[in-house]
Amino acid sequence: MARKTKGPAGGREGGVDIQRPQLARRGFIRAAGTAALSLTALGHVGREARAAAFRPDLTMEANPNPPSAYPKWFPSWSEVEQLARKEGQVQVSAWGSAEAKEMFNKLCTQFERKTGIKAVYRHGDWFAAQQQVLNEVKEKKEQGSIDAIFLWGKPFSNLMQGGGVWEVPILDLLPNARKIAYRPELGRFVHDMVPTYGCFVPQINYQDCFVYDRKKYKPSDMPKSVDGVLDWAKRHKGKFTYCDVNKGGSGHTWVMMLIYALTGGYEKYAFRPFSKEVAAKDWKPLWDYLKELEPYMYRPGTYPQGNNAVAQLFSAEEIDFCPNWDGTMAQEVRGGRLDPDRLGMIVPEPGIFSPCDGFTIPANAAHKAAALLFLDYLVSVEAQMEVPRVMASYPVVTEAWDKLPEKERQQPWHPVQNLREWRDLGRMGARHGEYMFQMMTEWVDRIARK
Amino acid sequence: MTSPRTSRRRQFGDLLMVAPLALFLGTMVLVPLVIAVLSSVGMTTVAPGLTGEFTLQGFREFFDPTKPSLAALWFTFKVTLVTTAISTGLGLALALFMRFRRIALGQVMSFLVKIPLFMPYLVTAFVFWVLLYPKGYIGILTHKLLVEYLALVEQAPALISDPLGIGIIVCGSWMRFPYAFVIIHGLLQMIDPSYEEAARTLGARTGRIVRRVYLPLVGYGLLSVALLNFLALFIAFSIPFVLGASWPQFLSVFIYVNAKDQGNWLAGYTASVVYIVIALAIATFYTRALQRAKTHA
Amino acid sequence: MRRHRAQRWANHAVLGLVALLILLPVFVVFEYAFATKWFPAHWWFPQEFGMRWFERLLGLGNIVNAMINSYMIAAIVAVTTLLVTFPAAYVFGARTRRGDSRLIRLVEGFSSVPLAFPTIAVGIGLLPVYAKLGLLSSLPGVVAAHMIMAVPYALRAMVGSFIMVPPEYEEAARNLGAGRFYVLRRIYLPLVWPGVMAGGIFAFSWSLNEFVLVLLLGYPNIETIPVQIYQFVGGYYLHPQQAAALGLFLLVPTLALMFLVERTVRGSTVVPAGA
Repeated sequence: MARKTKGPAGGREGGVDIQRPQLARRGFIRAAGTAALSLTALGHVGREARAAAFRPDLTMEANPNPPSAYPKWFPSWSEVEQLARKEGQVQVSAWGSAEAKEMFNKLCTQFERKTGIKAVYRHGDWFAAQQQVLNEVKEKKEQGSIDAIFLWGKPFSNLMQGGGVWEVPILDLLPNARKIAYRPELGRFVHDMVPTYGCFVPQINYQDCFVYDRKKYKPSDMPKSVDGVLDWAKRHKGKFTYCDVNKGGSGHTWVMMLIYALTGGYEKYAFRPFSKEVAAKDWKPLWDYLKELEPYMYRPGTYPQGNNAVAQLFSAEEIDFCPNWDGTMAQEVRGGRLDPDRLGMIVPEPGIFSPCDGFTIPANAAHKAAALLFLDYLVSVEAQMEVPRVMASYPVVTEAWDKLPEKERQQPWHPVQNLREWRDLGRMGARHGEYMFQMMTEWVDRIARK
Repeated sequence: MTSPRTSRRRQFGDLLMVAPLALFLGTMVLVPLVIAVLSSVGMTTVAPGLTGEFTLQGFREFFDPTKPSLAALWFTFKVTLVTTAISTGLGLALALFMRFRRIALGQVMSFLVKIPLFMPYLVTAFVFWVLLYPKGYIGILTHKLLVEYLALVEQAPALISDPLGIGIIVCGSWMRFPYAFVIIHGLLQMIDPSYEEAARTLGARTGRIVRRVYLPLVGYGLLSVALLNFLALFIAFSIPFVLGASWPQFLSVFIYVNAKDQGNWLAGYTASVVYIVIALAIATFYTRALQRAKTHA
Repeated sequence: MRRHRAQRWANHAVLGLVALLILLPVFVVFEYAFATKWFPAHWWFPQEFGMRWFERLLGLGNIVNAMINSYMIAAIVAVTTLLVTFPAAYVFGARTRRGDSRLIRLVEGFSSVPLAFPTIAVGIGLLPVYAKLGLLSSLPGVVAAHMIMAVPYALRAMVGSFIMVPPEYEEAARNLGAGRFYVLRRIYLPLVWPGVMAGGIFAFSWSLNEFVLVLLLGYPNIETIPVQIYQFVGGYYLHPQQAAALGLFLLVPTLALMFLVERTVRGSTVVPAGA
């Protein structure tokens, strides 16, 4: 059976079971179908959710959307499809690299061809898109200009707090979402432990890795664990660097792993309320570690400003080892700047988090049913196969990975071939957003400051 | 001599001519300015994280010496000052050189010098990154010169992401020196060559002519260029974002990271207000100097 | 004679150095835009050249539209900015105007504020205002937003030129009975034309380069080339070759346009040629 949902999204008590749509009575649906998808009908859900102060650490304690808050019905999927056709179009907003633009353009075209529903794609900037939605909601504009918006943790949290998210557990409505790998990190919360209440549909799964020069080193020469970097750097002075934690995720994701490894383990932080005291009291080993590391790094005291800056130093053979993303390194190879034979990627123990970006539907989206249909298409096997192909990252649907031709799976930027075993059964975890921002602020003062 | 009546009429006419500008500034600048000032004390809800309640926390944190903001402000000021001096100086030197040598600014040169004005900021910043990093042309040249030929140092200094802001200074000077050159060269063209000839026949040397003839005449232009360059670099974002260091941070990057990425808009707006206060102070100084320039010219 | 020749060589050397300084970064942009293979550790120049990045960009669409938008907005911004600032620059700069009215000085001082107003703060401040006025994602909205920064630039460029005009010209014309409009059009305009052109070009180039305000206020209907570049050089993701290729979409037509302007409107360019 498909996954059981925990938390609010299942809505089991309300008699809403998308796996048994026949329970919903047709006559009733016809009258209420449109209303079910409208903001008015679900307004009180939103109010309820906003009333509970939005804090990531509440996930395990309280349910901000009690099942009683939900209406007693949901439309069946075929009803959603009908409604979507009536709406006729969906406005999709995303951002990211040239590859992201290419992928979303392609997916929108394919979606249009498949369903006959027009998908208008706008490639923008996450902050601009977020402000647009928040502003429209504040101005009480009922027909918003964005129907499906691509997000990472912070903007999702901002939208949620600003009442910009359509607070309906959309992830549980989508038939294809059942194929998403069974990990809470893939949908139940966004990568910085921001709970989604099912209002978020993951689309891409990035992997931060240890990147090393395969021509110079054997995999056995490389550190086995996230905190093994220091020993390696001491043996190979000037050959390692990581990017400024405020300028690139590859740097701060690795440092977050160090926090867990050096100051008390993942369990100490996972889904616990943020405490400044913990950071003040327990993080000395982290700062000592990074300070000790600095003199052995590439050009001590200078930190590359971003993932790509680090990748380019690697391509130029200035460094032999760095943490970086799968997609960033693929860009270097595809851009003809990096010799693919040099690119080695490994994931150390106990793993480095691989965050997911994905979509939500704004509270005032004008074409909600079409947006649902579009998001369902995005998590179909066909659409998910484009993620590794174009973006060089992992799909959230493991089946899509399995179906890729052997050659495509064995590209040098993919650190792991057996995704099912390694990701779906292995450990993934997430970054704690508030601790992460605390670390990023303190890092400037404690490590970068001279 | 003008009668009081004519003078009043004239003043009214002046007001009328300034009115479109005043109207524009009033609506398009004053409104966001008021919003920025209110936001810096938490009194709006225009951005995430602002509660609408009065607080001075933003300013307390900005002026807290243990926080990086004051260091960022000082660093930004220093780097901007050096870049302004280099870019304005280069422009002035080139314009004067062409004046003295009576070099006509041919079509090609006049076209070349405008190129930096039209290079997209982000592309420029990125190009300087690849020029200045150790495998870039300037990086290699610096290494060859300092390490191999002169053997002054064991390792060439970092030209990007460095605490001295060398990358920002080099890139900023490249981007801004054409502004200085274009304006000063244009003003020099408006000066009657007979002034210089007269000075020469009286036995004045080049240095004296520059100091006594040209500088007073183009003083306003020079001041205005320096001000424009200073302010443009002071709030520049693309250059320090790509070429800057982790410490000290450029203030605009500090705002960006704090506000956009971390959602601390209180810090963002506080820094904006600090920026504006500095700009107003400079503008006051500038307006005074303008009055003086008008009477001297 | 020999001294003359040596001087000429020195002149050429200095100008050559300046040209080299200006052209080196431009050369790198071209190198990157056409480089399809370049391992920088072993090669000083790209190993393979090609049109791949241009084809890819054109395949991604919107380029032509974004180019039209970029130039259209920049042109409108330049013209409207000049219309607003020209009369004011006269009042601030012409030496026959005493400009000592408090109000006028206040306006003049205030006109510098936008120069030090971080664009992201301007954008966020304008968002709610625009939403109320219905200006979001509209051409007039973006033009007005761009004028915020263009106005002080144009103003500074023009005030300088007005100061340079000897006050006797205006006084003489006035004594002969010329009106304010006549004086401005027939006496000042020809004399301050370089300043006007400089102001217009600064406004044009500023608008052509700006991306934060277009991103915040123009989305989703208005997209320009710098916005697209920003999307490719956003810090977290950077594609050097595509950014360089996109930069050329902006740089090459602009330079061609400048070149044409210089050829056709002789003597009226920013830097009066051959004066």
